[in-house]
Amino acid sequence: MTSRVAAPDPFDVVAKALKCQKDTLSIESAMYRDHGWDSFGHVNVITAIEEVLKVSIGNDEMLKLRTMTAIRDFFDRHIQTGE
Amino acid sequence: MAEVDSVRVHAVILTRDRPEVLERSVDTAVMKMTPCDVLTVLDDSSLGVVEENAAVLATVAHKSPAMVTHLIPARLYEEIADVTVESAPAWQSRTAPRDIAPLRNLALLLSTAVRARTTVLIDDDICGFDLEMTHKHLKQLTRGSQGVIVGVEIGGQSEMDTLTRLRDALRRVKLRQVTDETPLDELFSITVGQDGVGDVDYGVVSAGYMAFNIHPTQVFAFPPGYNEDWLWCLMHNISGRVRVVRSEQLVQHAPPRVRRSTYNDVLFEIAGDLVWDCLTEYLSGDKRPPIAALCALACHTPSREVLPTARVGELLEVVRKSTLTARLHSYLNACGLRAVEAVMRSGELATNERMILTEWCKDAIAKHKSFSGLPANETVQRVIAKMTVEGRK
Repeated sequence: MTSRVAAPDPFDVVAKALKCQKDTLSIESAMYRDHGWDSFGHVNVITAIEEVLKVSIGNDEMLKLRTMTAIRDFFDRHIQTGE
Repeated sequence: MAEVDSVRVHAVILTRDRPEVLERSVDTAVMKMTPCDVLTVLDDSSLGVVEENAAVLATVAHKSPAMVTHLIPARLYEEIADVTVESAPAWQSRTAPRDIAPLRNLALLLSTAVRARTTVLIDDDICGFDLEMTHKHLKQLTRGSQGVIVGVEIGGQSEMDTLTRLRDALRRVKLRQVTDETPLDELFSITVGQDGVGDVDYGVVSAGYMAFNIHPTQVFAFPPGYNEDWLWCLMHNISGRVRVVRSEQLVQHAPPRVRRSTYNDVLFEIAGDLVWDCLTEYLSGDKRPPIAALCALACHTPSREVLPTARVGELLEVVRKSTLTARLHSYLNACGLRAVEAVMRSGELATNERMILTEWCKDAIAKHKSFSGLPANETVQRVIAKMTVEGRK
């Protein structure tokens, strides 16, 4: 029997990092557009993603992960490939 | 008014007491300039440095195909005040020594007096830019009467506020991206690569290097305080009259030294960040005119999590949980951590933070009202055009 662990939800991770309600975020959410998601909030978002996915995110990648869409795709890639 | 239609690119370099980087910036600018272009150096330096800069600019002017002009803001402020109704115009006053908004507004007035197809604002510590590429880019994006602001990706030393820079440095330490051999100034550097996504309607860009083409009647004054450039973009963007685009062009932020943030620096930045957060939260989807939006914002109560004490407390908690070597701790202290701790200890934030937004809104409205008639004021335009010619090297 295999145990199934629920994949982390990027919306949960971002909401926790920004200390906001999950339902205030949408796939359209983005840095500088949403409440609390400024440069300081963004470092918190990146740190939270690194902790949940156990990855190290470089500067270049950090700058690309500025939208909820990019973050969701990043989660999908890492969960599928197990990178 | 100056002969406007013949000017292709008007590059305005803002400098203050950094002759070592100004020369680099001016050399980079003239490399891609033509006889149809104008280079203006707005020099806010102390007297000795102004003389040093004048000598550099005289040399550059000899080899430059473009007209090179050296202007002293204090003289411009005085001349403009002399021909306007206010004897001490509100838009000319700084909220703090680091408040660059009056200088940027002077650059805006220059852009309306020397009307070029592309105006580029450049901070003296920015290098690796290409004015030709920037001009072509802006031209491609210009559509009818809609104004355009184009920014770039800025690598090199981080331009962010002290709290963000420290927070990111601590993240790198935690990920063991920093060793005892790492040159400490690299802790605050940003490596930016081409992400291949093309232009992005990003809403905000840095005025460290920014090109624009906005009709004088649509120009909004740079708001006071920290984050003046992002707030300026936001003010233009909310009404939908001006498009704000971040292009893929890369430039480098290379100041002579890494910023050692002081107590006042931290307070100045924290106030600007709070205003930014409230504005993005409050104005999300707002289409009312900027002044009406600011009037309404003055009564807004900021959410608890964006209040400065929460942010500072969060950072200090990360510091407490981090394992820092003595060398690293001492470096972070020098770069602003000590100042952040002092701000928190002083209690000054807790006392004032709920007033920051209201006071800022009142100040921003007063300064915009003081400034708004000038871009279309022919007497002011003539004064600036005359001084531009007089400042020619």
